[in-house]
Parts: sequence; structure tokens; C-alpha cells
Amino acid sequence: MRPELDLMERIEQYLNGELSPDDLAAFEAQLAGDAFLREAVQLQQDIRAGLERASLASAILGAKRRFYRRIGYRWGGFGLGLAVVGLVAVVFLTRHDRRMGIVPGVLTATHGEVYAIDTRRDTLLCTAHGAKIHLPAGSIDAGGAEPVRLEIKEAYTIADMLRYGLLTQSNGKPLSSGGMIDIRPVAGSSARIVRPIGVALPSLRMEDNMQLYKGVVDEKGKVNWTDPRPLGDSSGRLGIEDSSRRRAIADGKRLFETNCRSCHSIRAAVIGPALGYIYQRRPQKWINDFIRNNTPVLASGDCYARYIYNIFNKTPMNTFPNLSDRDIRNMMDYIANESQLIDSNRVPNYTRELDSCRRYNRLAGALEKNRETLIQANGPRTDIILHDDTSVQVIGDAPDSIVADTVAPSAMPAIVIPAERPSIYYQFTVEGFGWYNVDVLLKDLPGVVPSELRVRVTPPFASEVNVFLVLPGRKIFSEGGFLKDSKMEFGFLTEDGQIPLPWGEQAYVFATGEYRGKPVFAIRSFLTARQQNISLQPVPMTKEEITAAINHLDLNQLNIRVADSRNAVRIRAIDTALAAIARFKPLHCDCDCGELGGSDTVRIVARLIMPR
Amino acid sequence: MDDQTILELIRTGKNDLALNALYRNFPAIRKLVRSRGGSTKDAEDVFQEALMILIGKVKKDFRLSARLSTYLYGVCHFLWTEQLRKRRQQVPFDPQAEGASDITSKGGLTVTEEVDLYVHLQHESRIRLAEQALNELKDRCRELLLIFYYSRLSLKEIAAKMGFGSENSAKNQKYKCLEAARTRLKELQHQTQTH
Repeated sequence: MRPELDLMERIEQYLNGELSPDDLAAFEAQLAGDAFLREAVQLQQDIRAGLERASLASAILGAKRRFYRRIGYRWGGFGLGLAVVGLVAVVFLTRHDRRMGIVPGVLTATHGEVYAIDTRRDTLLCTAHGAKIHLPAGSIDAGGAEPVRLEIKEAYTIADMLRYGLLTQSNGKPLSSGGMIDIRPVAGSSARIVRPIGVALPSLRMEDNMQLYKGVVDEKGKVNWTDPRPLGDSSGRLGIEDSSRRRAIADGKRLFETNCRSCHSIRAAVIGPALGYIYQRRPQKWINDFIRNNTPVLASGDCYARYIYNIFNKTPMNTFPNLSDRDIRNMMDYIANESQLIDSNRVPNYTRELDSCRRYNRLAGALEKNRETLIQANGPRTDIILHDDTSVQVIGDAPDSIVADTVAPSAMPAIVIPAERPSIYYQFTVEGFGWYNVDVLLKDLPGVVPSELRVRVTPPFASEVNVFLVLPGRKIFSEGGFLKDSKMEFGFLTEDGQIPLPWGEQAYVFATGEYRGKPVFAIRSFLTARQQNISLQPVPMTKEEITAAINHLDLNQLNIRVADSRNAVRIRAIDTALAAIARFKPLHCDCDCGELGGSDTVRIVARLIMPR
Repeated sequence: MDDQTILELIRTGKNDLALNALYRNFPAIRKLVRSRGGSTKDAEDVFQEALMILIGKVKKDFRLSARLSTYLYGVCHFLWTEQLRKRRQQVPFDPQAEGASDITSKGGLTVTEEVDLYVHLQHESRIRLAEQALNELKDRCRELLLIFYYSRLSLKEIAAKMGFGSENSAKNQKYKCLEAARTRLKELQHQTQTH
């Protein structure tokens, strides 16, 4: 076979797990250093998955055919029924269509509600749609025929008006309608209204200049609204309900104009969101709290509040601590009245975005928790195993005891403390025999004199890496920690950078860590001297590159390895999942809120932890 | 047929028998999808995907958290919701639905199962590309690959069935087909990345 085909066979054996342990190790070593091979393996793996899918798809197709064959007769029967029903429906629809057309006029199109009335007594009718009709005794003359049957039609919405064919025109000019009612005896009866009756309509919207019109049906059957008169009873007075609502709306309007108008409108988003139908979107208590002082509402992690805040550029809303419940209620009355003029679907309600955020938070919360657990279980990022002659010494354990032996504590500034850094994707192992910590330098060794050594790591890596000092000639290895009050300078013994060193010897400082999911590394070689400032600039590298960089140096058998952390694969899988669900985050919103979605009780992790 | 028997059939590669039994769940899925704005064809697609997911999982490590029918229903519910999400950009105004919209309901899956499905959807587009590369192969090539990996026939039987002179030439041909698929997949991946 051609060599390429041989390679494919080998890849296949690798994917099937058919390689011997030796071959496997060799193959994996090759894989680590050969991007071309990695791609080839990935492609072949994908093809295999595709084949699996294709074979399953054909098996499922078979099962589907058998399923339909089993229930086939039922389908036949049903199909026939459908055809018959279809035929009837078509005939019916066609005939009906021909007769329909648009029937002009009001009254014949649809039937309203019919009520039977005893005209000799006072009657108060409360209709299904909320109108109240007061019929005093004797207001209807039925010529002695009792009871009188009245048909009542009401229209309050555009939909109602279209349904009844009621046009809102007055002598050819359009009118805006708060509601219409049509009261008449059922067809065939000769009853007439002979005295005034009282009618109260539950208008959704109220306007100052609303008037009462009388509908006259012209010869084409169209309604013309004529004879406008002020609302109210015959003397022109408004009912109590009407006037108090009018006052509330007027007061609400005044308050709205003074306090809100500069940032809000009913219809459209301005500096703040559109307020149309706000009383449907938020509970009254929330509205009161938010208007008076929105800061605590935002701080509580309320999802709705936070979302609005985010998409309106985090512009803080003024506070209105002095508005009373009544003031706010009046403003809501005004807003409700104005809202009738707009389509509720046109006002953004953010339901979709908030749902999405809740969903995201629920899933991300669970994933983050898992991820944290896995990172914890990875152990420390740098595993330092230095065997001296007798025991295993883990550096990083407090060296205080040794220090105390040699130097009076008061004479020496505090010791630097290496920072604990979690291992996410990578783990560094440092291993060597017969190595010492820097403490050994305190023991009056020949040629060791007081010196100063400071290592500066460029940000943003300084807070992400571990920094080490190696003196191969003396077999000294030690981890550094931040100098006093510094966030980027490291020292290796005391917080002021002092350390006893032998001068003129080969030494190394290196930094290892991970940043945004990649291992980073930097190393500098130098000759020790009395005072030194060294700068380290970590760069992202592959595991192999780091290992190669270290092996290149003569470290006197100090062994440094980089490997994937124990749970790296699973953590990466979670990262994939987190990336997959990130699309649930609405535009311009981090879902940084703590409201819980549905019945789930996963506490939300507010911020996504970036892989470092 | 009880759940354990079905799982055992899948584990031992008797997919056909298992699928016959599993297909009994289809009417419920059809009802689900049709009640939420889908066609019978949509239901079939969703159900096929769910069966693939199920079989894929059973072959790895699968702990049944509920009855198989419940699991399938949950997966289909999830997949169909995802479809709806893709198709429908605007959700109608309904102040009552806030926080309780059916778009967020999980259809009885655990959070872990749901997360698994997101990961699956991530991989799926990749695998679909591979499937496309395979579909673009010559029929004979595709058939050979399928027989090789999924028929349980020996090399000798395959050579005889497909009319190859020797086992060696059958094997050689298989790798040539694999290579063709690989090359095509690489092209397709490149195309989707540049778009």
C-alpha cells in the first residue's frame, strides 16, 4: 500500500484502540509534536462518526418503514375519511363564499345579546361587556306586548367595531371612539323608546373632549354619527365615577409631565424605556419601589430591573422618594389611558430576553459549579517534589522553623509567601533529587553574601504565574512571592528582596502558569550579583515548547514537566457547553442578575469565570 | 419489551430490534411536535435525531434517570424547542407568561442531560459535515465503508460480496475511499470556516 494508506491504517488502529502499549506511546508522542497528524486523526474520527450516523440513519429509516407498515391500514381508513370531509368542506366553503360578500350596515351582520324586559318597572341592565343601562318604568312603549325583547350590541375595541361593521365617521370626518352601543327591539317588534334612558359605557380610554354621538343609518346601511353633545346626564353633569377618573388622569398627567417626560414616553424608548402598558408588565409594588428609589431594586439582582438598566446604557434613573402611592396610581391611570392608543405588541416587554437569561443562568450556574469542583480536584498548579537524601520535601511549606534557627525573627523582614494558584487546564511538575530550598543559604555557606534580587513579571501575567529561582550549581530551587506592596515584583526570601547569594554563579528565574486557557512561560538565565533587577515576560506556549525550552538548559537534573491537568478534558467539555449556551445571553446583557428561573434552585454564579 | 431489554439490545448491536420497539414512542412525539406547530415530517426528523442521541449514549455510558419513553420525550421536546427557537424570532406579547413560557420548560430532563444535549448540538454540525462528505462519495465507496464498519462480515466475505479479487485489494480500496472522504471533508470544513 501507499504510505498515506499505511498511515490511515495506523490512525484507524489508534482510534480502535488496537495499538500495543509501546506503539501507542510512540504514536501519542508523534501526535504531540505533529499538527498535521493531529488534523488527520481528527478528520478520520469525524468520518467515522459520520459513518456511524449514516448507518444509524438507515437503520432508523427501516424501523420507520416497519412502523408505518404495521399501522398502515389505519392510515388508509383515516385518509379516506379525510377525503370525504375535505369534499364537504370545499362545497360548503364555496357556496358560503359566494353569498357572503361584505354586507353593508350595522344591524344585520351579527346578532347582539337579547334581553327580555318588563317595561312597567325600573330596570338596570348590566351587559356582558360591562355597560350599565338604566331603563326607567315606562321609557319603552311596546304597545302592551310584554315582555319586550331588546337586542343590545356593544363595541369598545377596534375589533368589535369591525365585527359589527360600525364605522366611526361623522359627516365624512373620522372620529376616535371610546365605545358604541346599539339598543333596539328584536326584529319584528314595534317597541319604541319614548323617554330618556341612562347608559354608562366602560370606556377603556378617556379624553377630555369626548362627546356623545347619535348613530343614523343612511340609505346604504352605513352609520353616520351625528348630533354631538357633551357627556353626562341630561343636565350635563358627569357621573361620580367619570369625574373622579378624569381628575385622577389629569393629576397623573401633570405628575408625568413634571417628573417623567424628560426621559420617558408612552410609545417609544427615549432615554429610558417606553412606559406604555408598564402596569401589565410589572407588579404595582415593583413599580412603586423602582420609581421611588431604583438603586436597591437594582442591587437586589432583580432581573427585569438589571436588564433594563443594561440596555439603557446603565443610565441611572432619578429617584422620586416623595411620590405617594396615590401619585403613582394616578400616573398609572394616565399611562393606562394613553396606552389604549397603542398596540400592546408594539411595546417591548423583554419577556423573551428575560426568559433567555433565566435559562442561561440556570444552566451556567450548574456548569460553573461543576467546573469549580473539577478545578478544586485538580490540586495545586505546580507540583514540586524535591527528594533530598532522607525525605520528600515539599517546597511552599512554611520555612519559618529553619529561619528561626539561624536569624533572630526581629532582625528579618517578613518572608515572601508564594501564592496558591489553581490548576485549570495544566499542571507543572518539578522534580529533583537532593535539592534545597533557599533557606539553606541562610546557613553561613562559604561564598554566600547578602544580596538583592527582584524579578518583575509583566502584567497581566504577574497575578497568574508562579515564579521560581534555580541555582543549579548549589542545587537550590525556590518559589518566589510578591514583594511588599507590589503586584508584579517577586522576591525569593524576604519581602524587601534581600537574599544571601553566592556571586557570579549561573542562575535561572522562570515563570509558569496559564492564561486564558493556554500555558504561559518565561525564563531568564543570569549570573548572580550583589543587586539585580530581572524582568520576565511570559508568552503563551504549547506544553511541548515549554518542555523543550527547559530541557535545553543545564538544570543539573532538575526535571520540569507540563501536562494537562487531571480534569482538563472535562473542564474543556464544560467550557464547550458554556460557550454553547452563551447564545442565550441577550444582546447587551450579561444576565448579571440573581433571580431564579422556574422551580430550579440552582444559585446563580453572577459572573462567568474566564479560563485563565 | 421493557427498557432494560431494549438497552441490552442496543449494547449488543441489535439496533434493528431495539428500534422497532423504540418506534412505538413515535405517536406521542408526533402529537407533541404537531401540537407545537410542527408537521409529521418535523416529528420524524426530531425523533430520528433523538434515537441517534439515545443510541450514541447507550454505547458510551448511560444511566437511565427515568423511563426510556420519558427520556425520549424530553429529548424530542428539547430538540423541537431548539428548532422553534431557530425558526421563530418573535415571541408574542403575553404579560402572564413571563417566567413561565413553554419555551423555557425542560420537558422532564435533568440539567445534566440538558447540558449534554447542548454539547451534542455543538458536535452535530461537525458530524453532519462528515455525513455530507460521505454522501458525496461514489455509492460503491460508501457502501464499502458501511459494510466494513457495520456489517460484521469478515474481510474475506466483504471481498467476495463486493466482487474484489482479493482481501488485500478490498482493504486497499477501503482506505482509498476513506481517503476520498477525508479529502472532501477537509474541503467542506474549509468552506464553512471561510463563510
